[in-house]
Amino acid sequence: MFACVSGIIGITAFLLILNTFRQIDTNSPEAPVIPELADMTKSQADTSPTPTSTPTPKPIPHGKIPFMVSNSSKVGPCIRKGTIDPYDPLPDQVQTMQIFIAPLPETTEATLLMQTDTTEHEYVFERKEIVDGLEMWEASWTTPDDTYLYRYNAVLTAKNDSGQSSVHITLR
Amino acid sequence: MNMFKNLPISKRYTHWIIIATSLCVFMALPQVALAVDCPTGKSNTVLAESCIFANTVDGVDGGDLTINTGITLTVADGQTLVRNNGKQIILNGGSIVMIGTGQIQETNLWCTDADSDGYCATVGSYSAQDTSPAPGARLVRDMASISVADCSDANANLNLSCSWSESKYIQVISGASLSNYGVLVTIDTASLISGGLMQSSCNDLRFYDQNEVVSYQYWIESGCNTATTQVWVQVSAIPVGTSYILMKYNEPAAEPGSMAWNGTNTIVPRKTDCPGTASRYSALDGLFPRGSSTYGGTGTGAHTHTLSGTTSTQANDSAAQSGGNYTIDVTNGHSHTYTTTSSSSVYLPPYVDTVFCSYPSIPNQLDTNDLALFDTLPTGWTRNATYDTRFPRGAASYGSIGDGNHTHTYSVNTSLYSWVVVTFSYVPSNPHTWLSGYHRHLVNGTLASSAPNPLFRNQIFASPNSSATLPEGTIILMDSATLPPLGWTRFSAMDTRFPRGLSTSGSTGGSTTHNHSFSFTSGVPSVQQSGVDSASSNGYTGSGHRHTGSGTTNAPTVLPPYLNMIYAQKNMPSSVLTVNVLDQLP
Repeated sequence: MFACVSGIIGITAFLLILNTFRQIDTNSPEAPVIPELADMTKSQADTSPTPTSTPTPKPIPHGKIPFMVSNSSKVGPCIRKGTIDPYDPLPDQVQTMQIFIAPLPETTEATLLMQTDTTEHEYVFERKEIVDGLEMWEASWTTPDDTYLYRYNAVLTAKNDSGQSSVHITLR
Repeated sequence: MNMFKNLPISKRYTHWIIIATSLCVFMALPQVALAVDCPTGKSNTVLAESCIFANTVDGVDGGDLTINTGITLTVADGQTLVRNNGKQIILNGGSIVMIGTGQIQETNLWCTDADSDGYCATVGSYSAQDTSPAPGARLVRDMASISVADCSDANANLNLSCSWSESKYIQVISGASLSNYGVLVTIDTASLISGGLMQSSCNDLRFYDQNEVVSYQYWIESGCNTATTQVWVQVSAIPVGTSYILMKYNEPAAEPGSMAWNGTNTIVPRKTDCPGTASRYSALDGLFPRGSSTYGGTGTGAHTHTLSGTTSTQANDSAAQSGGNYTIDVTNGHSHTYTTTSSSSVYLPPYVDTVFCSYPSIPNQLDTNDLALFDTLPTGWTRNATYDTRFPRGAASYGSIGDGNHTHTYSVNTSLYSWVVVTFSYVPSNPHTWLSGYHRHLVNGTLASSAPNPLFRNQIFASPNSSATLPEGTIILMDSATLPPLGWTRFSAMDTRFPRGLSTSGSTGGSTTHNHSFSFTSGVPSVQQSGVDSASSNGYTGSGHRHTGSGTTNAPTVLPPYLNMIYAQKNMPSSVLTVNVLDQLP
């Protein structure tokens, strides 16, 4: 993006200077016109798409927020609950998610796919400890350079010997 | 790129800039995926993908909610998800995630559907309660559709489209052919708005010819959302006989169609404090509103007059005066001249202190404490005789009157006069001379009172007997020459004049000048030098004579303290025109 903007500024400045020297040429009666612009009728000009308004982002909670999970799948680990901290991170802030999984059969792998407005990043959970009979898995990451105004999803995936389970949390 | 080869270099590169810019913008603004909203349900609902309900209170009313394998329903922090008693949320391999304080409540889901036409007044505004939360609330399961808002929740016949569905006809009966004529129409928009048929701002009002071919310009003078909305419709041609203007309304998305009028305040005289919709127009405090084509010129009313003349002739003394070897001739009369400028006074014609109230637009109604000016007293209005032969003057409170008299004082020393010696003995052995003395008189006094009228136009001052709209012919003040776009005309008959109350209007009078008469008797001589015999030092110091004088001052151009205002008159109705509002063509 920065490169594009710089390029445009540079080209524009160059052409402004160039145009100063060629002013006589462009103003002369013989100066050619741009056909596709000259021929454009009003109706053609009016066919440009109508801009649509951007929806107002939904409010989200602040800080560390718990969540509960109910599911009925008999395949894969059973994720029971979790936390996300903070729910509304600033850029470059460390964000942590903990999930608590039923211990049997033993979970072998848990991953997280964070989807924000324009990017997706996958993180791997680490098994930490047993809390209240549930396995606590945790992942921390530095918030990527992106916004989460309209798309903010956390897709949890866990595997065990029985298969794979997935929970798609719509955070916003 | 051949199409660019004949272009000047700068224009050729301009194309590249446009292309490059487009590419960069395309690259820099990748598509943003929006969160998936679960559909609000009014029967059995199966989620097709992982989603979150859009509204704070949402859910399924009238059916089960099924979440199949691989699908997750998220209940947001603070959100209430409704399911009905007896209905289920079926996790068919899917998941529910409840964040923070999100909850699932077993109750009913309601929306507002006041006209019971099966369309909610607002999409997505739900209540979660067992029983009806408010009059007009209906169960979501009973709605015909919950994805489209009712375009008119006060009219069961209108739901999906309200587009200009309503109309009335303005019947115009004219005895003459008129062109580009402003027709004043009084409409009860309050009932239309309360009935859900018109925007509360009256933005969706439009006027056409009967066949809806010609669109007429119009201006809402006042009173949108009242029973007496005043609208001026500019009709291009009114034929002799009966014709109709089509009035259309009921389009919730319509932009304002009325001609605009901003920036001019309407100033209305009043007998008490200004009402809440107005502010006191203190710019007129102590000033008389003078008619003008431009706003803002002022004058203070302060002025002076010049007096000049010659006093009466008066002998020096009542008897001959002599001393030693001189004699003063008492019969030798003399006079003095004088000229001076009087003190300054403020010229106040007969007045009634009046509160002036400023409105940002034309008020829809005036009450019994308001005043307006007329050429003819309208029906339902009472003339205010307090203003008879008096002028309104701005003040913080109403009612003080002035008789219009003013005067000036003056003080002047007359010219000098030397006494005349008629006999004087000359003694050769002791030569001496007579040194002549001289005197003058101090004159002071007060000019005769004067109550002149400035240039005026007689007007009827009147108040309505009860709250009423401004009748056609009403004359009020404005603080800008930018008049309303339709229906009002500058009242140029008041230019350079002040309105004066009277039972009949129209006559004019007054003057821009006035003078005062005066008369005086001077003081005794104010001796500047005694007459003296140089040998004997005997002298004559004068005595007690006085002079009289009288005359008329000059007549300078003087106006009372004033502020130039714009007088505007609501157009008078044509005597040949009758206007009626009809629900449909007869």
